[in-house]
Amino acid sequence: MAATDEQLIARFQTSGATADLDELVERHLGMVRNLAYRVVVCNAAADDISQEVFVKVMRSAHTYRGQANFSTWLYRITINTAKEHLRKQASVDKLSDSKQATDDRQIERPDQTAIYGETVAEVEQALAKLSVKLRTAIVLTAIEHLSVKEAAAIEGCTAATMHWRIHQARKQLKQFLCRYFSHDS
Amino acid sequence: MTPNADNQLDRLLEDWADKSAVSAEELAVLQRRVVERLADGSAGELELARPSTVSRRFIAAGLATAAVLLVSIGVWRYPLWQPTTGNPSQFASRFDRNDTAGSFEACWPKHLVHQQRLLEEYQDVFGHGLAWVAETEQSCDVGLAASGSKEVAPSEYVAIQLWLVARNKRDGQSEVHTVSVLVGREELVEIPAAAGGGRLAIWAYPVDEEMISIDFRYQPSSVAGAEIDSSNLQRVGRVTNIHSFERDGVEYRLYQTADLLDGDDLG
Repeated sequence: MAATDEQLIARFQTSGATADLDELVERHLGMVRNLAYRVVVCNAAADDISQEVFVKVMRSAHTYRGQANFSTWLYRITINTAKEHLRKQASVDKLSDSKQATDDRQIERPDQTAIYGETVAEVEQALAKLSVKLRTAIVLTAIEHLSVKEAAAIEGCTAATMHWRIHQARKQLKQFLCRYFSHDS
Repeated sequence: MTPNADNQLDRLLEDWADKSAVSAEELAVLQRRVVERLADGSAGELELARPSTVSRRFIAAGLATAAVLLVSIGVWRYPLWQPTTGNPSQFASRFDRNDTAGSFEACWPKHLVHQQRLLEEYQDVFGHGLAWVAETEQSCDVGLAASGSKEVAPSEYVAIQLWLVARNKRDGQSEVHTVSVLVGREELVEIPAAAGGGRLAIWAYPVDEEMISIDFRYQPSSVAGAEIDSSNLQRVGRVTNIHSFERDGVEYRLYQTADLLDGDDLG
């Protein structure tokens, strides 16, 4: 029977052998990479964030005491690392010409329309326009299918605040993508 | 929007998530990079678990959590700040002007300075545990962040003020209730019966430096049965009449303004 995530991390806590983490990387890298992308909406950054997340797991494994399940812990580390990246990026943007930097990121993949199709590219642009908190809220609940309570625990806010953020994110996305909702308005 | 629109949005999001998901080949390459990075020691020193010893840091964190639990009962009535000349009551004498919004607007910069001082005072006491401050004519209520909350240091506060004004033919215009709120951006705050003025749930999101998106639900206790739901975009520093209604022959108008306060610039 395969070891659980919690057993693997416990084994690493005592051995310190990075080989014990390999199995965790294999199990969760896809989730971490996709989640990071959905928060930062940038492929190169999502790759860097994914690596950083597992480095953090290794460095802080000794603090994991099973109070939350491993995947919740990993969600939290991923979200925080992605936000950290966006904060650093914002500081860089402030120092340089911020508008230009933002525009550059938005046209990171000029061929994205060809790859994804028009609708998907529009959804991506709409998501990129949301604030990080709103985007994280909608990603965790509508895409990762976490409950409001779980998403609130990951974000470190109350369930009421999380409800409100989801409501706001939905409202803004519907405005940005209004042409898809014209029949319901 | 209908539940159908929500389902439609969910489908759009899921479609985007599927199509933007990392491919198996890309994932395999990334996995190799991660594993190599973990193995080559460049990821930094490891700290292994120490069997059965509880670290000082852990104890300190426990004590801090306990302390936060003790004070985070929800709302504190902390008499740190006594309303001064800068408080909302200063507007009372101006209500008979025709241009109510204009007169509020003229006073707002001075009141904003008052709000900044207020925030500074409370941050000195509560540090980053401060979630919101609501000030009315009679009192100042403070909300503390829930224990375990990570978002206790909002880098940007939003200052919002609401004025509920009543008009009738006999008495003219008068202020019914005024409430000033300082909140961290994108934090929902629920203020229970602020100083007898009514219940208020409010949420603010700065769209940019000029516009703030504000949602609130307000039940002024002085107007029986009144409940105001508003979702609007507020231009910074401008006063807007966002809602009007009539009850028992009295016309009520709710005015609103907002501004950004940078918590990091204070103190």
